[in-house]
Amino acid sequence: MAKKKKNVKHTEAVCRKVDAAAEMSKLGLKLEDDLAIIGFVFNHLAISHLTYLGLNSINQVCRTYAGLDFCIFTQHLMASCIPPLCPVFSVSDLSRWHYYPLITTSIGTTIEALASNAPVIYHYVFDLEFIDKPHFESSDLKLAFCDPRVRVIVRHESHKDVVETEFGIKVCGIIPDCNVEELAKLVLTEMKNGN
Amino acid sequence: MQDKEKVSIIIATHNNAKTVKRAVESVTKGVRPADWVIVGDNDSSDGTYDTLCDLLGAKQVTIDDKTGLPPEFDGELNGVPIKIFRKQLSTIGHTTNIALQMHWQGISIFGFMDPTSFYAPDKISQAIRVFHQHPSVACVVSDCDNHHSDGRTERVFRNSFDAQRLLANYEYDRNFLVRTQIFPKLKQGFNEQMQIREDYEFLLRVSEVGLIYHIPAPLHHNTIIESDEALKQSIIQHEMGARQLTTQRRSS
Repeated sequence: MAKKKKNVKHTEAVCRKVDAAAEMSKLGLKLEDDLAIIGFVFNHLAISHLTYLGLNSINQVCRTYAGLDFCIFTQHLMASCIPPLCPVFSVSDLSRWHYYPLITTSIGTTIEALASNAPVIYHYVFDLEFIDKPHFESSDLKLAFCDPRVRVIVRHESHKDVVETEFGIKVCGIIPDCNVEELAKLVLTEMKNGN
Repeated sequence: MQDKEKVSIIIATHNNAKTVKRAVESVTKGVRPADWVIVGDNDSSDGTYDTLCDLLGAKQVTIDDKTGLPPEFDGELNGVPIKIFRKQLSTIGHTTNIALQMHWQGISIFGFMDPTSFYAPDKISQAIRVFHQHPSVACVVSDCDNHHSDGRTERVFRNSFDAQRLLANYEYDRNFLVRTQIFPKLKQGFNEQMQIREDYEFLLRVSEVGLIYHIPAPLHHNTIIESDEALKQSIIQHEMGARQLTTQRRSS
């Protein structure tokens, strides 16, 4: 009996599948999982430290991971400092956001996101905006950090201490430089664990 | 720490005899000291230049039958070459620009420093790390600790850079580091017409050619000196002037 010929394309496909599975597992996802979507809410997309690093990082993750999608919501629609590789909506579209997690990047965007149906809102505290800023109403401030739907992530160890002392909450992670891959990993792991 | 950067720290002084020694020492020690330090004295009357000469061991010289401290001196402190010079009274911006032009060949990063401040040991190394990690970063700023005259130390949390926020008010201070490559794009150094807050005007221009990166750690220390009402008013006026210049530039 002739020896069965090895299907090279099949072997390649299996290798690619293994690679893809390994890649997805970095984010705590499996290949058979539903497509995961994460929403980001920015104040604007014009040039700033946060938007530059954030958009760069989102684009990088979009290129790397096939099973993860992003949507960006912005309070002020203006020209973006880097063309994003994912759809951009106005915050008014947040009312149609269900099920998937949202990552907000300021007190203002967190307040706005709380009006949506997002089950969990991850408030990524890039700046300690509440220090020496009397224009924030104390009720708004408390909501943005202490609402049961809000989980707080900070970008530096010293920010963690200040936020925890000020609001009496537990910060769920420290992620520097708006590293979207790390943020996604944390958010998706929490979601999978049903938190 | 091994890196290929050449870091030059520029300090422009005017009556800072009490704090200048600490400032210079802070950049010659630490995790990653500077490769070069230039201190320009803006005709101080409180012995700032004498302090600098003492620190570097500069001896009196006689020129045309007049004996005094040399107008320029090249010395070394903790193995770091330091150049000091004094000049007639003008603006701090003018003194800084002269210092910048004194030694720029081969320099890849310029650090600016308020003579009343001092750097934390890892400020230069942290800035170099950021420059290496993010090629689009033109300037690195950081949080700081403020030391008050009553002995209090206050941790200052600054906001990250946002073009609109920086235009609305001055978030940072003079203690920042910039890449040398941005100077051809800026077309000029510090604004020599401004009596104060030329650093604000400079940062506004830097923000138009590259990203300002904010490190949320206290990487320098400021000595807080109480300012009188006239100085406060002057600061407000000069900041407003810097904003107007920026708005005009952007609209044109």
